[in-house]
Amino acid sequence: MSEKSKTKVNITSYRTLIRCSSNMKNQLQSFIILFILMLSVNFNASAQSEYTLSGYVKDQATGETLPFANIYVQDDVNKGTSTNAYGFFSLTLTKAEYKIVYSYLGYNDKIEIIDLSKDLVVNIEMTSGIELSDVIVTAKEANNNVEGTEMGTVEIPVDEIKFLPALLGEVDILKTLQLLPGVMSAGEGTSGFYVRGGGPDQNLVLLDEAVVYNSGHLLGFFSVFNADAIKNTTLIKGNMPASYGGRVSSVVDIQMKEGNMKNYSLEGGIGIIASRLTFQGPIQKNKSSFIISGRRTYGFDLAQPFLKGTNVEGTNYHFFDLNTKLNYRFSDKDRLYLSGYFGRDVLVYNLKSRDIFFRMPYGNATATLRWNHLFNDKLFMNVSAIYNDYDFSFEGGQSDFGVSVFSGVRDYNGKIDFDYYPSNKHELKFGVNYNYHRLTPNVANLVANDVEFNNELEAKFANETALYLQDNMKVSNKLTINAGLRYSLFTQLGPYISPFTGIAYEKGEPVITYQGLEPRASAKFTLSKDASVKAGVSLNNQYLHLVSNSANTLPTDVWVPSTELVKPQRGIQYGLGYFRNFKDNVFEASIETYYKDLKNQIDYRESYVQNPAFDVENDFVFGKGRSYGAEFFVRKNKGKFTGWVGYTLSRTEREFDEINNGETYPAKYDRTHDLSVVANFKLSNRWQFSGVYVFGTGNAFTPLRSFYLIEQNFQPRYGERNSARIDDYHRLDLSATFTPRGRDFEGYAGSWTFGVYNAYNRLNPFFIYYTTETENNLAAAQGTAIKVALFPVIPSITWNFKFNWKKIKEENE
Amino acid sequence: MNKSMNLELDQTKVLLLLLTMIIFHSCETEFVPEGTNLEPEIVVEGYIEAGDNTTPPFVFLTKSVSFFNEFDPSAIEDLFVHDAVVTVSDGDSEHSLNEYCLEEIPEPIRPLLIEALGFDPDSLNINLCVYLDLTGGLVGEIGKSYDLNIALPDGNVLTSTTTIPPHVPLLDLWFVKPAEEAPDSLLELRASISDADDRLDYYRYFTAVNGNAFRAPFQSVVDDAFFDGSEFEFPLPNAEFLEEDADFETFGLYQVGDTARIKWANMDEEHFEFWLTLEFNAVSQGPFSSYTQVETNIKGGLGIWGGYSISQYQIVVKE
Repeated sequence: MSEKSKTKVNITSYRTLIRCSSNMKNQLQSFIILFILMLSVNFNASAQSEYTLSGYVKDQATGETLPFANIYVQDDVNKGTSTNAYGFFSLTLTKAEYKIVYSYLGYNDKIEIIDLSKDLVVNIEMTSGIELSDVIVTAKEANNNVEGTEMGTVEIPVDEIKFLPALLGEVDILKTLQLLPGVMSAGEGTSGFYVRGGGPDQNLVLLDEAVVYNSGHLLGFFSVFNADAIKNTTLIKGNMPASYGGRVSSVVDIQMKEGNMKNYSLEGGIGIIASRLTFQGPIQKNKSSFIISGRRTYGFDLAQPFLKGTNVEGTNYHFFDLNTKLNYRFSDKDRLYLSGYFGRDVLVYNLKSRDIFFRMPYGNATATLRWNHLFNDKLFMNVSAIYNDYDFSFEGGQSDFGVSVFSGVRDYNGKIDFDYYPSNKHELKFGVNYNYHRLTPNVANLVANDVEFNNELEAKFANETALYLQDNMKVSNKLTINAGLRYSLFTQLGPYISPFTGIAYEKGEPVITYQGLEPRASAKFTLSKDASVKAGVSLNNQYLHLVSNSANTLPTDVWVPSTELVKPQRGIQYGLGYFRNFKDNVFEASIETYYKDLKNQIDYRESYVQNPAFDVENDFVFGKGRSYGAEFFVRKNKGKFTGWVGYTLSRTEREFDEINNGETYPAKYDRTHDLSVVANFKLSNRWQFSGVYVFGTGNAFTPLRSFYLIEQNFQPRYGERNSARIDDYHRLDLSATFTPRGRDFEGYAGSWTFGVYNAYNRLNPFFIYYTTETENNLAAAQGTAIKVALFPVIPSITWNFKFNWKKIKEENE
Repeated sequence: MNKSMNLELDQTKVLLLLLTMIIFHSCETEFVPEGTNLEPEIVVEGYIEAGDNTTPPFVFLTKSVSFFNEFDPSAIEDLFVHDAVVTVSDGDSEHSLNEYCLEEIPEPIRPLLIEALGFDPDSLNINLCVYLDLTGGLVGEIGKSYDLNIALPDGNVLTSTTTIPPHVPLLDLWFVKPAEEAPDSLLELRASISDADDRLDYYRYFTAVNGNAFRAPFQSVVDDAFFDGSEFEFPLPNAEFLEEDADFETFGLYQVGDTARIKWANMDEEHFEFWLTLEFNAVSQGPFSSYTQVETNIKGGLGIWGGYSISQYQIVVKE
């Protein structure tokens, strides 16, 4: 198929998209027309004799593919591309001899001279290792910071963060993201996060493409992502590409490791609260591999023998994660991946003297089956079938009385995505995504002396479909435009009985449909070889919602679909940034500004009382929000000393008719100043030191307005919403990693990590509360206001180990 | 019994937090919040009852107060609002509630009144003031609505309306041992009702032991969303043993040999919402909940003007 005819196909699909929405606005029309014009003009421009260099970029030691690695011509960084999420790239250039540079964060650059007089397929293997010298720069870097059209996008290979200090030594990818500008921690020690003033349900958290609906263990103090099983994390905090959708704020796209293609290895660690073990290796060398990785807490298990015979025998709490992945390469053109995640928190409480018990298990399960197919060296396809499930249940009771509550989300998801590289000037992505949701509200049962009652709430069902097309267009040497369009369609389905009209819908019958066109565009204009300006705009619709009444998302919070009452959330984000590199790209710096407008935001009404008898949507109120800010970021990626400084100045507001008398108020995640400093110093091959310092304006809270007397007790009455601030937050964490010379045998490598969380013991208030005590007959009364700090200085020690079979074998030989 | 379900879910969250706090040795510090400098609001607390041993209709009028550390009796006395003109209308006739401060009320009525207002007559040492109908001309009736009108000396007027709904009495009351392994000296009280069909019923209860005044437990209300129209059995924890910092092992139990009294009431929806939000607000501070704005049926102020239809029971604590 010629390039010309391909272009036609794409334009036709655009026309289909246009027809899909009858009430399109002028803005959208002009956007699409402009997009199509640019697309056709540029395609026609390409001629001459061109050849394609394509292939996979991999880690030499493990055979793991490297996503988002850069590939470019050394003398002309404009001629370049990057690998996709599966490590594949395709670069079409005019016939010539080139010096091609392959670069990936944390790996040594690789330079190859190629004679591109025919199409070439290569498999590039790169070696990891951090240069010990500050000054060695192997090649003129092509740098995504300046050269890419992405804005507000950060790649974090997990190996880069393993040395950072962590609470109780548990390396946590979500907590590392909080150290980036524009990303706020939801609270002390928690893995919950807010991005650019968006709520916690507005982040799309993906694990191998499966949505993770609850990413926290133990009230969110630990995330469900075991760092040992994770390869790469991409954070997109603004200008989401059209291939992502369904959330209005951000994407956290986490990829699991594929498994070592070359050797068996066993690695793990023993920490204060949890231990980890990962086993991986080839099934058939360089053809198929597996990985299985587990993590579990055990503190309370160890206490079980001591609880035996006591009043609370059997009381326990634990969480665990299990990640597995298999992959099989049928040929150079076909590869199959099967991955899964299963994690649980389980809390059990017994009190024998009152015949009280409860049990609360909750967690996620995901499964992803993917097929990568290469039609030719320019067209890559991925087909995915994804299942994911989050469920929460609670069972409790006292003697003859019992309650049980169940809630959850289950998705069946199918996707087809294409990456098409017609020329050096275009990188197209297009695809279709279908998702069937089943959302179970709090289904509650009550047993009183063998008689059963229930709240008669039923699961809700919905279809969510999306089509998208995007093109990364190199318009000139200075200007690159990434334009995309996503069309999303959401239908709530029966069985369902409308509480408004009384209509009973049959299984699969549509109840209500919402749809929307979601244009996305960003552009990069190069100012010099070290500097560029980027601008972007994106519109996103969100059809599933989670409303939380607490500081952090809790396992008890319930995801709900858009319904007759609940309208889809809608967000528009504008971004403008200046990107500059210094000292031959040793330092990357950027200033990004954003403005975000949010419609159909949801909160609980002010007099909300948690009541499992009713559908939560009865307690919702609807409003709007906006946020704006500036993010400053300087990062050093190379040398002995690496790290970054991120600072955000921002404001986030909400406005609801039924909250705060309709007046605008700061959102609970409004944080004026937010500073993170991350430093990592590799002293030698044996010692590495890291430090993290964070500072943030205190969280907004609703202060006490007054006390008033009812039935001889003083009751608290609250003032304007979020009109007061808790004390500013600041904290310093330190860690040192010691890697002894493991000369006993070559296959073994071990290290010790010593950490201190909150090194100068700052008592950051986690929450405040008020108490009143009234003596009998109003003889006297006392009021107290209390700040609670959760984490004082907390030391930790972790031992990590790794056995590598091949090296063991070589040693024996 | 969705209330008890809430309680257990809340306890789960609290338990998880406690767990975290124990693991990490969390630390509490007292502080003095900034003053709000806002005008005090007028707080109404008044009831009108129909049924067994009713208390005459009365209204407490107080002012809200900014955060305080310590209040002595005189500071509490200063909260009472005097010289208001308080009237209640049942649609047919209007009745005045006159202000009485307890010191003015002659023996032997005084101790009876103090007890009826929910205080202990032996140890009350502040001069409570209350707006009251002592003529006996105003008695609550099931099915009737009562309009409250309060004209304050400063010219402001507060109004409210409440209805006394039909009453659903307790069918039975009995004691059981809370668990096989529990000591014999403390028992759990069980009750049953036959809920009315096709009607929203809202319940509240109070307990008293021996000669003490009635008290409501900190979660005292429930609606019939779960058990509408059914015969339903449930525990009735003792308010005196239901402090917020109660011991898990003994909370809500009754001492063998004591005499327990139960006051069982029905309310209208606004009255129920007031207690529901007030009680939820009292226990839902901290990281798991933002504040709850307590509902009120008072126009121009805070608090409650509430009608109850009541029945009262007395039972000796024994298995």
